Amino acid sequence: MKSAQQRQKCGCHESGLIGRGCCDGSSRAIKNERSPEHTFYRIGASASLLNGIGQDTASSNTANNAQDLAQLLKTIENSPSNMTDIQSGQANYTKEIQDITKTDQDLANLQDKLNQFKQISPVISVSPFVSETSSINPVTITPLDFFAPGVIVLLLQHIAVTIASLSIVRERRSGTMELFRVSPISAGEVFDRKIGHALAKGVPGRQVMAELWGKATGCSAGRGGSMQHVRSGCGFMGTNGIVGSGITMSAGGALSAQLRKSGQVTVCFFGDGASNSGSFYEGLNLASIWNLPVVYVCENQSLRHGNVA
Amino acid sequence: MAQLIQQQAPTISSEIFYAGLTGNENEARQLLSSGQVDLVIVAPTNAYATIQNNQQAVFKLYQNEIDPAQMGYIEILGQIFVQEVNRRVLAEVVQQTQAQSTM
Repeated sequence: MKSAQQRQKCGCHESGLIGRGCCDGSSRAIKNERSPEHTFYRIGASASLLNGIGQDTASSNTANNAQDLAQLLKTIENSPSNMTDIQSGQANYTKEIQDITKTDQDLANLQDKLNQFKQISPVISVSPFVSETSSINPVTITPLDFFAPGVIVLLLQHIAVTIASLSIVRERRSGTMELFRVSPISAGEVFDRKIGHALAKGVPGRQVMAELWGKATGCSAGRGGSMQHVRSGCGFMGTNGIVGSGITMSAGGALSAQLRKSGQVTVCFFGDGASNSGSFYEGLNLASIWNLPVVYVCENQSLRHGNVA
Repeated sequence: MAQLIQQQAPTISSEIFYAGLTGNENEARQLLSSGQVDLVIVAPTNAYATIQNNQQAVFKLYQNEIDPAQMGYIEILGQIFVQEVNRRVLAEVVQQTQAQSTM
């Protein structure tokens, strides 16, 4: 670096009239650019050029320009120390370049990710998953198939209740209800007169009730209901809902006892209404001709069902 | 994946009672046919690649109901289930993004 003393040797510096062609200004600066000293001279040459222009355009302000140049020179004198700092930082360039390269790579990766992200639809970004429901049942049942039977049953129930209500009202108007009320039969007798015979003959009440409810544990395995109670183990041949049919059946049972010579006697209960059926005459005729062991009991019910005389 | 399902499935919906996890879809469907389970949910395979291909990953729900009302209920339940999955995925993504942005 050129010291202040060296610069003082230069006449142009001493006079402050630094201009084009000043001492060793521009020519050295162009030749050696790397040295901080040369940078100084290059700056000095530029300042000289500016000063020369200043002289040409405003020669009357020479004194002011000299002061400005002195200030500029002080600033330039401090520049070499900054240049030294720059030189010392050159050692870290390699690491910084590596860091910058890594940063570039990261940015490139980020750019790829962003490109991928931009390719995905916003709907899919917000809802990446969706559900799909299906049935493994081979039978497809539509709501119509599933609910229509229930609706039909409800309608039928409604119709049945309506018709039953109308029927009750009609019977009430005709006096049937009053007739039931004055009848000598009880509610149990109205229910079924056959049950009493079954219970009397030894059919368990539990089986009788189960049969009334149609259960498999009933005396007729739930298939007879309130009409057909059968339990052969108790000697109870059974009842049925056909009026007068028991007369011929009991004749058959008596014939069986006669042929087997078991000594058994058949007892047949029937209402007075059954005496008007053909089986009444047929059964009694056979029993009389073949002299069968059978007793016929005609119950006077005043031609009603279940009315005990 | 299996561990994630075992962690998340029991808590994903109060209406779905988690019965177990299996890697065999046919076995799960047999359990459904025999009535031991009411619903089988098949998680999508390779969901990440599917989403990257700009497609939605599908959760398949199998049921064995004949009641149309029950079938509709399960379908809506499946949609709620997937919405909850989407919500949790988005929450996880946002959480990870926030963690990276504060590094």
